[in-house]
Amino acid sequence: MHSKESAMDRLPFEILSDIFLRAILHHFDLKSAPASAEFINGPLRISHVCRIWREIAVNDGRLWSHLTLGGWTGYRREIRKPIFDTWLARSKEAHLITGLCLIFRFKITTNSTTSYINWTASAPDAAVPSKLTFVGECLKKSAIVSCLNFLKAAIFLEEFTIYFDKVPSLPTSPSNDDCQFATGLRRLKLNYTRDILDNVNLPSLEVLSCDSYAEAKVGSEVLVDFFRRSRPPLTYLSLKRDSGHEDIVIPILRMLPTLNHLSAVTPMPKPRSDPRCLLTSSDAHGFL
Amino acid sequence: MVIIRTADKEKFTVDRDVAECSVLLKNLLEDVGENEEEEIPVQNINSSVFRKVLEWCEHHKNDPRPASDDSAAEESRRRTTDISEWDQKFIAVDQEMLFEIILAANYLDIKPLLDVGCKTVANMIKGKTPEEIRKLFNITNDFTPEEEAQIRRENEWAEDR
Repeated sequence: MHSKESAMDRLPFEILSDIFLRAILHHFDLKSAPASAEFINGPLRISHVCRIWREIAVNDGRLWSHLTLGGWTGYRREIRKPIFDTWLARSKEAHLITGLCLIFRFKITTNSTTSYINWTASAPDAAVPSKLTFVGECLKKSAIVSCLNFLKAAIFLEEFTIYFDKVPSLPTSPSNDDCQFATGLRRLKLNYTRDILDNVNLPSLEVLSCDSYAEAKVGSEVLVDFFRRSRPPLTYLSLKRDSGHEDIVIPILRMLPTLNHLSAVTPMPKPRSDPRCLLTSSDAHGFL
Repeated sequence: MVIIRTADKEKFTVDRDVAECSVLLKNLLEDVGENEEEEIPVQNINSSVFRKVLEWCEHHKNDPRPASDDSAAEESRRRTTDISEWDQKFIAVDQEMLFEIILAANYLDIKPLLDVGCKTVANMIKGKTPEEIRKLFNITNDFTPEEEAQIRRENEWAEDR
């Protein structure tokens, strides 16, 4: 591997692997996830150094476990699929427990999610990401609709995280006539419950984490309706900020017989000057 | 005190609590018991590297020991590439010594020292191009033409913006 024998040649593969992971792990921090080009560069650069490094990197699924697609539409269509396929294949080959975490960090619009939805629809047998994370703005009804379309399209999805930096001051009320089923979804984290929970049916959900700081106070009826419709085998429920109020928590407890962990936190209210409620990075850290 | 003999036959007399920063030495010392006359051999480490490791152990002997089965703490340690000021000065050595320290920490099972070494190398890699990494570590580009072609295709992905 090296022109001159050095102690580096004697480093065990697992240590080199650990070093590689540390070199790019800061990319996995959603608060500071770099632009997609840099994100893609991280594991690629390591795998382009020499044959040994490539062999180690390609076979370590942890290095390929996150893919941030900020500005995804900036890529040519013919480039998108090989990137998806490569990350999917390499994250799976190393027996990754969690699968690929696909992070969408951009203004969520119907157009920007179309390529992914089309791709999953055209390749139903392919291994699709088991984790999806939305990080971005949500100022239009179309963003909520896109989230719901993702739930519908990604039938193998096990974990879905929705983190909106900004949300509308009023409920967007997307079409409510077709509740989306995501039969495999087991874990859902979101900071905007209204419009999402109103429009989904999640019969396998085991973990639900709601942090409603990004929206105006949510009533218990949203959660009650959701639990009545889905009847999920929920074991873990975390309700923060406005969602954690006792008026909301008490009515839903009797609907969750399998629950073994409940966290309900209601901090002192903060003054809000902007009705759209811009979140801070510390808010994001606590949530994600 | 305990006596430890390195691969190049040098003997070190070491405080027991310093030696016990190493899980390997701690286990060996438990087997030996209170017999202070018995030498503990460390076959894979020479005296110059072991001296450096002892310097680290002496400074960190009162640190809480990491739990061997705490995967959450391990993940947390891995996620940060921050290195304390003292450790930064300690690890400011030539590359050969740096990798020898990593190997010694791995052999002696001193996880926090292994962390320091791996973080240091990770920080050296961060943000560098493959060519810069090769130059830094004196690595030869040994890809076949077919592999080079694949790598060129992958490079297009990152440039396609």
